[in-house]
Amino acid sequence: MAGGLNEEMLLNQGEEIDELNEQLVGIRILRGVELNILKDGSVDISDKILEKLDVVSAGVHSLFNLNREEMTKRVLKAIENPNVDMLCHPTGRQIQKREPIQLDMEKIIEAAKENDTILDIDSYPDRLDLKDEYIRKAVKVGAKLGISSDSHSKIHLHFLELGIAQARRGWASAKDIVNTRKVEEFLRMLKTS
Amino acid sequence: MEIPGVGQSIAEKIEELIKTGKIKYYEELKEKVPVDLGSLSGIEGLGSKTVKTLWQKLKIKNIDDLEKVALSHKISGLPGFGEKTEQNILKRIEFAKKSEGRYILGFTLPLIREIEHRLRSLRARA
Repeated sequence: MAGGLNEEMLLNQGEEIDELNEQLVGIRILRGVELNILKDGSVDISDKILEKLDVVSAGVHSLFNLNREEMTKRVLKAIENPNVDMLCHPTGRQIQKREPIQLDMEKIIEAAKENDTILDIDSYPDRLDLKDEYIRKAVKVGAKLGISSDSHSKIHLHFLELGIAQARRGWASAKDIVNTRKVEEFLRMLKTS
Repeated sequence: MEIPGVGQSIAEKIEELIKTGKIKYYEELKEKVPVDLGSLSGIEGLGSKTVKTLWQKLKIKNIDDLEKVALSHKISGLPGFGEKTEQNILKRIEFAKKSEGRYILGFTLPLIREIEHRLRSLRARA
């Protein structure tokens, strides 16, 4: 998985989170993970472990140069995975650094809607991915969107304001964004697992 | 104070940097290898190893040099570099040029806000 915990560490982390949740008032920490989508569209943690998590996202972090057909097939498979709740930074672009991966975005957005997979609006300054025109399309077809900060440190949390601005550029409103909901409702909007 | 990994030699250089703003050893190296590593390694696919090879074989110092040798097909003649690499380098130079002079909002915003904050506090004093 991205950033490199192994399955055992992930389970231990889950236990720590459970303990914290018992002590915390007014905050609930969710157990989650960001997976790598491998070349064939499978993900790099077993279903048995994923079922124990609250929220699972997956994204392309390698092999960015597959052709459009192969890449679309790869990402569609992840969208169809019943354990994958969200497709993170869907097009993989890094502004001023890397071109987006080759994807048939019509198909991706359609499949996200069909499979109830959330499309991420990654707020990290050089990602802002989805970009506005795809957000607009997702809103039109009724695919769910989520805004993530992609924080790698607590000082990154404020990037969320950029993701919110990005969502508005694509004419999304609060009802289109899953993480405007209270936690129970948010969890109900995820794929059942 | 003892910092793991910092011995006498590094400690002296840190001290030199703080006192004079420079490190002589680094300046000497820079003179021997006047390569703009920052902008060259900003080209996707160019790591420090490739940059080193390009400097040693073709005296590539910056992106302009790189573009010239790529256009005149000198890169594809190097061992380990093919025509495809050359084409990719040209494509990526094009990509890098598009963003020249532009800054990413999210990274500059904190600075802009700091400037705004200082300007506002000036006005309040007047």
